[in-house]
Amino acid sequence: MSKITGYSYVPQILQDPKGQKFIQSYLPLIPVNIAKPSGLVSPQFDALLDSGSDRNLFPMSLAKYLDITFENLKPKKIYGIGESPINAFPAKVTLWLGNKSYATDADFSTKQNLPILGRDGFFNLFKSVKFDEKGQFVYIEEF
Amino acid sequence: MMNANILLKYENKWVALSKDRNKVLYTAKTLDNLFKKISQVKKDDVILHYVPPFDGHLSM
Repeated sequence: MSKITGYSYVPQILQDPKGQKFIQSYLPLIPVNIAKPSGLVSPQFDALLDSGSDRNLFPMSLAKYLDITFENLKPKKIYGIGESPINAFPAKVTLWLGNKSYATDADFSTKQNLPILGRDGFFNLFKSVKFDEKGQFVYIEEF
Repeated sequence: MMNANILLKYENKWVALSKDRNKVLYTAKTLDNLFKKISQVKKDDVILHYVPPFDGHLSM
């Protein structure tokens, strides 16, 4: 039987539509660490599970902290909301979830604040990632 | 369960939360600056967390 780990959604602040009061909204954020292969490990940080993202996308500050450099690499374009793409640089990283590590890839951009876990690079490391919107839990099943 | 009200003062900032997510231990405008602030802290004691702007939804 595969191991399944559940993570409670994390509450965030949202202004109500009239802008008069704050309400809580819940996001599927999970705590992960990343490292340069055979290098320094980052502190744990919350990353958004985003099944609509092709790949992992992290703030450039994480690459800087881990001493990941992108010399002689051309930026790749990441398209999302709006018409303009953002530039990002790919790197091989080790991603830690709990006490397990996974060799994977991630893109880093100066234009991205919220760390994002995408399908290719996170979701494909697991047998399944199931969102329980009503219960506000996400269940990650290992292979 | 974390109470999001602890984030009210930190819109569009980075915070270092306690492991139980009940306290904001450090805060900075940028992740670079937060790394500086937590440099003396045991890495296992914090979870870094970006607080999105409150006036809109997230859509990637």
